[in-house]
Amino acid sequence: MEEETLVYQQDEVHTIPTSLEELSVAGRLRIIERRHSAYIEWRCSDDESNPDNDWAVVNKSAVTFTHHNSSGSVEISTPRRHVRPISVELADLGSYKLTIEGSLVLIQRDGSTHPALQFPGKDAEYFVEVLSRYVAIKRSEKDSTLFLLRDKKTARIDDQLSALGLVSHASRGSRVRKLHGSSSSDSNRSRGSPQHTSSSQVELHSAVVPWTTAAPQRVMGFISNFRRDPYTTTLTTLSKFYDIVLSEDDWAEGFVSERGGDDLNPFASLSGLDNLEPGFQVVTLKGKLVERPRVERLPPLTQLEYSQHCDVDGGVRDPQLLKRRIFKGGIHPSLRSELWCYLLGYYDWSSSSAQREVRRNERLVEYQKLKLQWSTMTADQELRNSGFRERKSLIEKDVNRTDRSHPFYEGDDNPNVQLLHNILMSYVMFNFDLGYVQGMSDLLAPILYVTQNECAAFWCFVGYIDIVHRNFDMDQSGMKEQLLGLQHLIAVIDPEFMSYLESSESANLYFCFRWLLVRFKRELSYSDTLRLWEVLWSQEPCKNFHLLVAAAILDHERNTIMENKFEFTEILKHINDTSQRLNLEELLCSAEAIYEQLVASSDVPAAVLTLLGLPLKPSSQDGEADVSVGELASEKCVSTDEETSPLESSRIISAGPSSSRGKKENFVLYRRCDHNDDDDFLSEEDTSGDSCGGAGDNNASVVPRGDTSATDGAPRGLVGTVTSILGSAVRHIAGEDASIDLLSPISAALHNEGLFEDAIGQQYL
Amino acid sequence: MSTGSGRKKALLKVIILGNSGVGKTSLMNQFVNRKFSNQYKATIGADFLTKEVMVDDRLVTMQIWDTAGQERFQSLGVAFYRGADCCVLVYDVTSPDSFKALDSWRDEFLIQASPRDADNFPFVVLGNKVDLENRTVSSKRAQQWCQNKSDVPYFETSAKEAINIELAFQTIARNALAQDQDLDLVNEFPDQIKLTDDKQNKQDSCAC
Repeated sequence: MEEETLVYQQDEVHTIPTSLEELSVAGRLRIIERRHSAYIEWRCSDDESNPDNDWAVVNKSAVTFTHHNSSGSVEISTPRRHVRPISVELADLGSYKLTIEGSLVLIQRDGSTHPALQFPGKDAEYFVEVLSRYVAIKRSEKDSTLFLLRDKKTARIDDQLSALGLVSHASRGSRVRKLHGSSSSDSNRSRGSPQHTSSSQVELHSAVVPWTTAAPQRVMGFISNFRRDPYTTTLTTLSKFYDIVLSEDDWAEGFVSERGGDDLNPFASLSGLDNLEPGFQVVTLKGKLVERPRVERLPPLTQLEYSQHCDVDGGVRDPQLLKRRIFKGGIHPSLRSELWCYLLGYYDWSSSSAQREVRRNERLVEYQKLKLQWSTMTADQELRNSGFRERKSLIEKDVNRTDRSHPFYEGDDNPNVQLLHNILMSYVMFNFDLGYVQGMSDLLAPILYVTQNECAAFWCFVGYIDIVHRNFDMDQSGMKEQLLGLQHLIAVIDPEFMSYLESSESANLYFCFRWLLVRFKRELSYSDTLRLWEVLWSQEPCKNFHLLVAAAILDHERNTIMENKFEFTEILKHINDTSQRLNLEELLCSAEAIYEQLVASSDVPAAVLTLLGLPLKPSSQDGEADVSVGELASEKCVSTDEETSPLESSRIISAGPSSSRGKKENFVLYRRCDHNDDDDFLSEEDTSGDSCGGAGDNNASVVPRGDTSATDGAPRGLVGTVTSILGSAVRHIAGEDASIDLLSPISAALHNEGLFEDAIGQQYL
Repeated sequence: MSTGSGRKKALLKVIILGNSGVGKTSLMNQFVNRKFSNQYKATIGADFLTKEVMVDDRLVTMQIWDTAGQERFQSLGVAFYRGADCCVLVYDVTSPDSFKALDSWRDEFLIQASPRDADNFPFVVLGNKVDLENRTVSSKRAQQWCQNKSDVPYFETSAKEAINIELAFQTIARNALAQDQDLDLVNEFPDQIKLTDDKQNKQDSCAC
């Protein structure tokens, strides 16, 4: 056993339950010195006997209980809670959140986020005092509960230098960025671990040289280099742009290219180039959003209240009104099994009790037919049906690992698991083309739990899949559209954060994938999942409300992400670690508030209005604000109506928010096709690039109307050329135009860096 | 991270691939947390765990990535495969289909991750679930496959019984570290050299 010194100890530090279903677990918090390092450790009190096993899961404190609510139906049930001990080396601790109520969340530099702990008597003062002997602690300016940690020595030097105001911090860090250098951008790249402990970067706002002063020289340099060697110049320059934009937004300077080569990414941040490119016009969306209103929610809809919505035959008088009510408060558990059948289309709202009885019988017969189709398949038949076999095998694997810790599905040979299997197999026969895709079992399990009826669960599941079937597209295009829609939302409600995400290669928002695929089921407790889903199924107050919920979570995490300078990997970890720790009611309030805010604001981009199914406002139809940053989750393309619009034939090559120079503005970079500048230095490469470039047919749905005419014309301007070439490369990779061999080196480079996905995802091309 | 100093911890990125249900999440958890649960849910999206290990007296951090096994989710793989130092291909010894899929997992990885030197990129193959009795893929067959892929290391494991897990991940770490150091050498040279080399080819065919 190594020598260790105990410097702090506090008993009765409890875990904080995030839902009614969870129990708090007491433990001991300590700070220990061990071999020149200090560690923060928390261990469940029951686990003291076994201090050596760092990774043991504490089962002794696992809790399962089921409680019966007043109506007598089984309401809440708790998955076993594994309480894992915490051990964090101080050097790995990037920040912590500490509220005045004394709840503490430790956040590591790699994004790992530990469960919240509650100090007894709400008093963490002594803990902080001991901590501050080891590290410099600085309260975030944006979030008063967030505290950022730095190495003490570094912090002191930083403060001295900041006081002098002479040196950009970035120039001392591990990543030196040349703001005006003319040499290859590669020379300023360094490779570092994402976990590097350059805590000196906590305060990076100071002393950043404005890069724009060098723009004219750079343009001229680019032109001459481009004539000599267009491809190398193109890529080199784009990589510089990337660096520049990052440096400009210096406080977002993070762990940008630790795996090397990432500065080829031209899509992330073309947004800083407004002064540079004469072939472009910057359209500023002046829109500042109105303040977000406060929103109150209601208690769940009760039986008594529901009966007032029904007429004598048992039909619902005003479905819209009822849905609105469900949106505002959800449904009391005792009413769920009935009302979910309406929300998911199994029953018609207007149907009488007698009609519903008929419907149930019809649907039962139908379901039994479907069930016979797969259950009578012989082994011999299966041998010749690989498609069937694959679906069956996936279902068998997945139902055996779906919610098995939930009392309804736990234990060996649980008949409810068999029901999940039956329903999913029947769905395969109902819709063989879609078949079974992972995630579906997650969507079904709560429905079966609520309806407790195989046939009703099946038809409700059919209704649910009707809503979310695009989540399971073979090419994942439905998921990509949603991620893109979310991107647009963030860009409008929080341009600074979107800009940060772009600069940290996270604009694709892939870390939200799990949220969207199974509608937050993996992030929420069971009872919260049921609540959220019924709220979403109400289709109130707008479509795609789930994206507003996602935006609300991101809004909640944005300071933590930005102030810790998390990049893609760290964000993913942090987001995954927030699973099961969300406060649903708060999130729903905040999502609704964002909705109200967007409704009340003018100048909301058409793409976002369309996304939410809101009417386009006059200002967004006059071409100026026809941002049409691709259309999301919507078949229609809301393009300009007036043919006279000056930008009617323009094509957006880059759209994005920018926090440049502190301004909170969205802007869109257009390529203007009627522009004749720079003609002379464009060689034939541009034509080739253009004719092949831009939006492929496959992406037609995401490109504003009028694109075809735009691509016919010669491109104008450097960035236009560059983008066209890269567009060709992307199409080439996508296999849409196999004839463009000339671009294979670039294709390879792009593919290498995973830009194809980014490009398609972000639709910058 | 730079080479040579040996003072800073190396970060090794390892990707685990294989059909749905072969035990990717279980292997990762058995190695990192030394525990097994039959209640892991199907992985959606991606997640990773990290663990510090010693490789030949050097402390390295392994970042082990676990992804969804169903084919259609691979189109997102590229975001997660980037910068991998080693790829672990897993099949289930009781499932011939999962063994047959190794080829396509390997190919898909090479396409999406585009390592600089695809021929020498380190793979390790794990035949998992050897604790089960209904084995259908023989050791010999698997070894043959690995030999044909320029001697990919092969281990037969059980995440449930913790068989061969340490040994397999030691090898994974060692090979990833070698790859990481190679990469560092490559990175000493600017990319531009490569692009300039390709210039000729491109200019010849730019008539499109």
